[in-house]
Amino acid sequence: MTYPIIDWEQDVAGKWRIRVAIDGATVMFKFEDWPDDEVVQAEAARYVAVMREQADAASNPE
Amino acid sequence: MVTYYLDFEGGNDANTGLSFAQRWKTFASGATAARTAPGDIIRVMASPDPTSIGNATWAGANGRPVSVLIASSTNATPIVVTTSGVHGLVAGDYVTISGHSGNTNANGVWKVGTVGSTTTFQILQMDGTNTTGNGTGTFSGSAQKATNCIVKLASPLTQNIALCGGLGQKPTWTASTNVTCTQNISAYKEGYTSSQTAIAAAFTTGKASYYTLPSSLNLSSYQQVSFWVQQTAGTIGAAGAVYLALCTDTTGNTVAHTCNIPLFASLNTWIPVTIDFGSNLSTGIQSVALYVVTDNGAQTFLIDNIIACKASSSADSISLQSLIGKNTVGEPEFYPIQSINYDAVMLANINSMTPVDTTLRGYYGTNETVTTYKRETIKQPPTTGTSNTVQEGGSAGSLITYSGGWNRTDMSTQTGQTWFDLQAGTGTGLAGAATSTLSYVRVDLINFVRCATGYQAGVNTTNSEVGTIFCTACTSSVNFVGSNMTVGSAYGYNSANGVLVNNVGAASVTFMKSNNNTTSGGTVSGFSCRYTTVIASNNASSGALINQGSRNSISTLTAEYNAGSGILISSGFGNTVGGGSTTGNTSGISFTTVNSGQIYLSNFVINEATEVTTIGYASAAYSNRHDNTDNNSWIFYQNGTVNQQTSVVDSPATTSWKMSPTNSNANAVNPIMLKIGTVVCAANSAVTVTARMQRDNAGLTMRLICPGGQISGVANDVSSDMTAAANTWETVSISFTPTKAGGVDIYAYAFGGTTFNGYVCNLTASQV
Repeated sequence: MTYPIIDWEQDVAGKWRIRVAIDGATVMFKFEDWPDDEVVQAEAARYVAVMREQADAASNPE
Repeated sequence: MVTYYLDFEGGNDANTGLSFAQRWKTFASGATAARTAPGDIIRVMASPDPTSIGNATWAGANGRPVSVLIASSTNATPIVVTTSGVHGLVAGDYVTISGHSGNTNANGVWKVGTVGSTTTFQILQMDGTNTTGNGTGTFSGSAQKATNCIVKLASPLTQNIALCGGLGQKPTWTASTNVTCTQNISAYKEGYTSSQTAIAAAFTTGKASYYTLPSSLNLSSYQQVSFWVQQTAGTIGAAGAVYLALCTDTTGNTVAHTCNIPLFASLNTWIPVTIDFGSNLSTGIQSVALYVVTDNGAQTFLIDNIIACKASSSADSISLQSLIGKNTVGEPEFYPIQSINYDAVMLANINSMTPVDTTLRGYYGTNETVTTYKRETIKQPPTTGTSNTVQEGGSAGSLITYSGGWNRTDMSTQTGQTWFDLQAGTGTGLAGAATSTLSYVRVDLINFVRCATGYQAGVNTTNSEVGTIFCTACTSSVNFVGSNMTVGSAYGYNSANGVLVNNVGAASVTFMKSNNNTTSGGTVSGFSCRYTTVIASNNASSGALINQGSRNSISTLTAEYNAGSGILISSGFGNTVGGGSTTGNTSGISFTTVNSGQIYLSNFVINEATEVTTIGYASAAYSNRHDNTDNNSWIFYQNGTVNQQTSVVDSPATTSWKMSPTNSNANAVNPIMLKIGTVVCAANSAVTVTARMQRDNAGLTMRLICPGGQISGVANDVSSDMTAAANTWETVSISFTPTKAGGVDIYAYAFGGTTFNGYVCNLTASQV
């Protein structure tokens, strides 16, 4: 699955902030250097997995 | 004030305790409440000082990586494993493989041989010899880099006798009549199995089982035998009721050395056993055997990782009971041992873990080959109770002090540390006789390994102090509960839980390091506690856990390479972090419940691409001088961000606030909010507040608002939305007249869309 890149900017700390569309929302990722697209996609995929885990944990507390 | 002496190994509780010659043995029966009084100092004898075992290679700079699935493996010599994703291994790394089917010989702990590609690699035994497949491996199981879990010695210091689980040594032990021998693949300490001997009730005494070694071993360079043992079923017998024998024949009949199995405190708990024979072992050991001396009916035992060790007098002697470490100021931790195989010393967490457990965390620190030290501990009998029970608390201004590390010859100088090993991982290392007894008690340099809880302050404890404490291989390393505690340095590592500050009011913790734990690292909860330095890295969940803790202040927090977020917040309000960083975690900060709370950061650097994750609309991370950079303050909400920036700004302001809803859940009733000022008002005259606003899309609502109910006369919200076209600055104004004097907060709201940005600056307020 490919997550579309919406926009990007460089913040005052010099970090690249890239907004990606995920599940109808947008999520901002921060990179020290301008990242290759696959790096952005990997981070987006990892974000999705982490949020899914958190949602599952919240709905099924031990 | 009286000084007493206590020595668990050489003391006697019938003594007076008043001199080295008259030293007590135990906390419970020596330092009784009748004998001690507030202001007294109890010196506790040190365990042996560390000694060098030569150079060893430590590799933990990036913590423990996640596992990758295995696509296949070859039925070959050596086995070649193919992973479904990039394995990240290089030749010489260590890897754990578990759950692999079709070629079960591939499961275990291995050295990595030739790396064929980013998805293929050979697995070798620890001594570099080939592994051999027993079938073609199917898509099953996982491989996980374990290089940071293993300290590689310059050369082996021990001799493998029977690994009970390594490839090539998997044959089942031979059972006597009324005995069943199997390989246990659920509980083991080395490789992928342990050797199980199940003794039926009909068996009485004698040789229950034996194992013929692949070749005769000359053990004359060694004087000790070390192994892991566990009883999983049956009546627990006395120490020596069962023993492990080293035999000079091939069938376990000619016993050369007898290793008594100690008294267990409970079933299903591993204990590391080391027997010091005091003289060289035999030259021709050909088998090992398990003997029953006392008939206790049906019993089942597991044995694993049988090794021969050098004489205890040898500085470089290590056994499964030893702790190893770098022994430096920066890395003073000594680590428990999971297993020893050839030159590979695997570091442990809690006793119950197998070597292929994905949450085994190993070492986190500097990659280097460096002089390495071992430390021996004071062994205390396995227990399910408390090993060292403090009998009496002190009083304000007159603490009772338990001071460890006093030299072993006459206890006149404090030059070392006192380490107690409870062996089984059950029981409490040190606690008060009652939940309040540790009040006004100071404990220093008394450390614990293999406990349920190392140091336990009870719920009614007040004003207790800890100087420096190390706890490892515990379910809970250090558990502070109570109020007004003062902690110097607390190390809780390679445990299930690191240092826990739970339900503590007004504690002061100078240094807290919780690395390599199987859950979250340090729990920095409690209320109104002050932490100077918190370090929580390479834990199997989050680094620092703020759980139901409020108004806590952390000066510097460092959380690196945890398997979860750097800081995890669950119901934590008003907590502040004044500096530090997160690196290599899944995210910098994570809020895990709908109303997880807020955290206030300043000068804090988040190095992760995903800075904050939250599933709670009521949660927020406020970061002032974010990433330690001027004019770079941020607020992270579930549905958007707010940040200070200089690119889009209206004079005379030099920065403006950028408001960016990222989720359609940001709406009129749940907007992205920014408090832009507090206006102090007089009564009965009109107040006018203005702000300059801009937006990059008319689909975004930018609202200036004074929420109603803050002050008399302004019961309802007073607000105004900007109407200008995109990318046009507009003055937005609201007016209201309070009937009583007071202060009101003014907010900017933003909502609408998921990609639009609004800006606000130049707030003015006037009253006429």
